[in-house]
Amino acid sequence: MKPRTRALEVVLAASAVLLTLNLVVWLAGESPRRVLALAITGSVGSAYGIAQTLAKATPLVWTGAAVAFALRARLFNIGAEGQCMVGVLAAGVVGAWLPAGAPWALAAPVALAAAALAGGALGGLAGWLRARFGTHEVISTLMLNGLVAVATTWLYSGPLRVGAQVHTRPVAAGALLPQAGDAVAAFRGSALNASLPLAVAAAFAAHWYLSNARGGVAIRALGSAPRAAEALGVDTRGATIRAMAVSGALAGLAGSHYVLGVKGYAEQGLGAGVGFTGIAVALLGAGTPWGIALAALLFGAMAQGGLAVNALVPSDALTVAQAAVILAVAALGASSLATREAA
Amino acid sequence: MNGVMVFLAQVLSASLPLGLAAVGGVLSERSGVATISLEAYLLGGAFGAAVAALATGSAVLASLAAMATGAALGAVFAFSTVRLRAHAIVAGVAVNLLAAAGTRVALKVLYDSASNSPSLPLARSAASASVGWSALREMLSSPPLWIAPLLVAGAHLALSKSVFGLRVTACGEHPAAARSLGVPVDRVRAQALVLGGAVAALGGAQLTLHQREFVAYMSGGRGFLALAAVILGRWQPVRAVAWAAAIGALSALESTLAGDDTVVPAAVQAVLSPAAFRAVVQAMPYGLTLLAVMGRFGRSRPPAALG
Repeated sequence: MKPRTRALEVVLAASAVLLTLNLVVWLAGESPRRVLALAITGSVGSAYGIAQTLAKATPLVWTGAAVAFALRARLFNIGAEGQCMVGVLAAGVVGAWLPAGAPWALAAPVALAAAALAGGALGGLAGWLRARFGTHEVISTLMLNGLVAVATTWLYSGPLRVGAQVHTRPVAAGALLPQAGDAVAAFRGSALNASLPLAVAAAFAAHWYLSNARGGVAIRALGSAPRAAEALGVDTRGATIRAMAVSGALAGLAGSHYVLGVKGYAEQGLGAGVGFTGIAVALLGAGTPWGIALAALLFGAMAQGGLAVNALVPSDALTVAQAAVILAVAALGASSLATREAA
Repeated sequence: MNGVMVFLAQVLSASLPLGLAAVGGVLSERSGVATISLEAYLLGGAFGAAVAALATGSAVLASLAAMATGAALGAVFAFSTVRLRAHAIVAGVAVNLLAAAGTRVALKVLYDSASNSPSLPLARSAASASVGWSALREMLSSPPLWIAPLLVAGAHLALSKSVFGLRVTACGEHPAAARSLGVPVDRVRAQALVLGGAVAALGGAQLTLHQREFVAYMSGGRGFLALAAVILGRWQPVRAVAWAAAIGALSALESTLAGDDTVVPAAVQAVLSPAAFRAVVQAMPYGLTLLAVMGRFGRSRPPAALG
């Protein structure tokens, strides 16, 4: 198909979606212009709104970086959802297990490491299944998502339950991440916390590792020319497992935002959906750290904007728009995804 | 006897959505397009059925409306993946999101509720002396149950005997060769995906008709369980339905156990708490699927052009 025809089709499809959205807003008895204005002021119109948008973007930076990392090895990690869930669980359990008086310098790194290790183990398992048995990672990570959902449902309602509460015991005070509201008065009351700078730093570190480190170059070689890499003596099995394990660790660390940054405990449902949205963030961000951060910001603003207009139209209208953005990005990025994988 | 009939009704009601979604998945994936949007078809079909049932009071029209909704979602998926060449997994994620959020928006606009539709105006079957018999009779009178065998047999015959089915398989195994023989690969794939969406969505109608209302997110991950049945059934309709029935039986067992802990054998209770045992039962389909794709358990080989 000619590129111009393709672009035209994508634009037409996007317009159709926007038109439908307007129609829905109008059917709900509201002015589309007023709803849009409210969504924009609610997400970026005030210091609090901006802080909330950044907070909503935080787990998406983690999962976006996670999906992007595996994609460089041409592996499609759609298990970020489950990896984030075990990250939440591990941060909550290990954070609560730490002694109450544990110093910050010890407790926070231990809780973060727990989230990373749990997610990394789950991702690494999918990588090992791929390297050892040739099991496609899309299937294995989907099934592992299901297993994790069953296991966490049981754990939160059973063994980890504290009396009538359906969440875990609170984590040690030292494991909690610094709050933006404590440093900047205008951000007070928002959920923004130190998990965001950590996520951005991790996205840059992951990118640096892929570009410069020996192991990272092996992962890229696996992604772009697996046979050539094998012929040149690259340990492709090791690179497969490593790529999925690092990806899983990044996704697991998304749990740090919820458990160590916002709630102070782990519970069922934290991080639901961020693994799947992370796929869109990785694609829209085209695999670069800045791109991932900006794409996460866009999706964070849409989520926050949806909440701002919830009184007028259901916030799900903005989720429909998210789905449309994902489809448009996937269609526009079809060639770039192919070329990046082939490059 | 009463308990057996109740359990049988539960197995049927749990297997039917899974089995139909699995057949829809087989039809779609055999054309060489990875289809994780079965969840969207079930949810969209459930909603379409609720709208039609509330408007007409007819369970048959509700079932047809579900299939139309599924075909529409299948068309969105086909347009994105086949025509615009979007990555199938990414498009599947988007279509799932679209169905989850879209049904909630429509729920709000049509019925001014965030969580569920009004109760469906369907006549309840007359009360019978036996609870088991009423449960079973209610299940047997559900239109998706009569349509399902036709669809399963149709899918099996179409894929193995018809020209269309052979073309679908050719597109899934070797699209370039199919194209060189003059098979319009894109069109065949689009047809398979739309058809798959319609079949899978009938399973959604069963969810709504059984529950007598639509509830937000009521598909509850069944689309992924159906995908497990597709893989375990090696991308063949009848085998996939058999696995869906097995998974449905497990889930009926799980809900029976949830109602009555004493059903768990004493030998098991010595090792696992009843809740833990239920979790193990729920986890089995996922675990079995992993074993199957690891090749531990027969060999499950996907269509070559998949993913």
